[in-house]
Amino acid sequence: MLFEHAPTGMLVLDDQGAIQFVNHAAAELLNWSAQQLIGEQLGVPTSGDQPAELEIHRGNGEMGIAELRTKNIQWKTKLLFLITFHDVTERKKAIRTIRHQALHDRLTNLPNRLQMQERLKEALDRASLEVSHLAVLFIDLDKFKDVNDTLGHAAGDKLLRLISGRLSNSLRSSDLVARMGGDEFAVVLEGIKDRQAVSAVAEKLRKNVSEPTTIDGESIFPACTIGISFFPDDGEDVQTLLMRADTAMYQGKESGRNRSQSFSIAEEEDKSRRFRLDQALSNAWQDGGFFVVYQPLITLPDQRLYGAEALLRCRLPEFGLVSPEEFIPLLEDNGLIHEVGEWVFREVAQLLSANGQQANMLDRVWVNVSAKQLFGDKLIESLDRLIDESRLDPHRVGIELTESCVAGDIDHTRKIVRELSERGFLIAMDDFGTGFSSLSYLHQLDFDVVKVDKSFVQRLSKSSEARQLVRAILAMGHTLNLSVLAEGVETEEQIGLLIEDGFDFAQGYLFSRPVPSDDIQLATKDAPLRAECFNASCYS
Amino acid sequence: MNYVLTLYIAGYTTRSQRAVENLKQILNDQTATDYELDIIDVLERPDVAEEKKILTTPTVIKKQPPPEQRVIGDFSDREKVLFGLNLQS
Repeated sequence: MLFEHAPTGMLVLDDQGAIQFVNHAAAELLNWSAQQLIGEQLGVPTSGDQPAELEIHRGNGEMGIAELRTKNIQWKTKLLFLITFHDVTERKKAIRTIRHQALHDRLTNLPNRLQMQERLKEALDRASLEVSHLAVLFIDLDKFKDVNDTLGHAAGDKLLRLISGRLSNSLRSSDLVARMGGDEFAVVLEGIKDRQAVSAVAEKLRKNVSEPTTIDGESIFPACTIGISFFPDDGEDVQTLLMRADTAMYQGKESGRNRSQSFSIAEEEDKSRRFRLDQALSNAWQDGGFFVVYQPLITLPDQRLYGAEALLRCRLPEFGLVSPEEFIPLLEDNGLIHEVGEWVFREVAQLLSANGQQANMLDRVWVNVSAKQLFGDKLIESLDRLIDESRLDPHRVGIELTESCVAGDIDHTRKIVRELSERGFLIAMDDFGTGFSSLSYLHQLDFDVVKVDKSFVQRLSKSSEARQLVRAILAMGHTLNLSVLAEGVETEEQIGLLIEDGFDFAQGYLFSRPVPSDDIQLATKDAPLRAECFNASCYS
Repeated sequence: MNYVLTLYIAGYTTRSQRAVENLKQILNDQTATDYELDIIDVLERPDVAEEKKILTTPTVIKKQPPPEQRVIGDFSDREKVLFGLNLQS
């Protein structure tokens, strides 16, 4: 009775493996009746003392997995086998499901980052043995956030599923596609011939991903940027290859998205330098690594000192003197530009208050303001604070804007420029002619001065066309009641031509390189200014 | 005398591969003469499995020499395999 109703499946076999007894649980588990089972040859169990797993084939055709234990029994003179077994099918299935979930992305059912790393490792081992090539592609959807933000996350999820299908369908079944997270996917191409072949696959992927589609009635034009790293040239381990494909992808994004881009070591070194520089700049801001130098501006035709342009400089222990072209964009990216920018105004205010009593005082000092500062909401606020504290006299300060400041929302720019003008600041358009150079900006915004870029000035004596162009800019500036300044004047010949044409101001190495604040105060208005007037160290 | 055996497995899983390895090792070590070993995947040939009433896999049936005998499990216990198939060393 105990045997019959035990919850565990139990069988008794004779020494030839034929079933002699079977309990209710065993019959149920095997899906045969006890009568059908008795006398059947199951077979002599051959597993050791440890429980063994085997497949059971049920009467209804289904298959399961059972864990089986065997015990030898001596009954009278006969050897019998007592088999007990548990159905572990569901447990096995659950383990399989958990393993699947651990290795797959739930939304797209693609392999996830973990599986990608494991399988890339295996693929690298194979490629090393076979001395073959392999490529890792890092794929990021362009502007995916816009889809989520405008159509909602459900639509975003639909798009991700669609894209994962497109990626899988564009590749061989032996290629691996994984979702790395968010809108990032990665692909591993094994046995690929060369970089050219990889680029061809990447282009195919990009094209297929970019097919327009409709989600929830809205037309969507997906696009992606693909970064490529190549084994063994770009790296020999999982982390390096993934990281470099990722780096290449970011390079592609910076070059304008919707493209595929191979990893370049030069670009990575550049990225690494930018990263270290970024850290060093933050430290420099704490440690006083920034300083301001001043380049004199002179009036024409008398060539006397009029004022100066304040120029931000930075010296870092690890890098030495760093060019503003390199560090200003980094300050804009990390947001320090606002604090550093305000500090420049404070430095200028200090110079002007110290300089205020001198006979040869600077009429006006000009400060460069970047687009990030101009549109950052804090500029007017911090200038007002300086004015309120009586530190800054707006009537002795000018603000130079580059063309990137005016290329965006012109109405917004006009509003800020007007607010600055109302406070007494003069406004100059810097480096005119190098960027977007829309003449209409000069007309629409209340500029006071236009600074003609040095590239025009330097061509002046070389071609008559250049001189005609410079004259046209000058005439236009004067028509709009702007003062016109020539940047980058280096020779007596150039200044002669500029005076002849009627320029109002000039600036350049002929008169002086940028100099420290102590030196600018030594400049005199008594005679035409020349570089020889300054003996102190200069900063280009 | 030649031994003729058939091994029934369900798919080429780690479990069935281990069983094949164990069995071949025993056969190589213990049989003085040649043996024939057929391997049948019951997932591919369910008709054969049904005909032979294979209740569990892996199962080995020794057809020759008679009598027909069966063993089941992972064949990890050499003595039981030799006993169950009546193989003489």
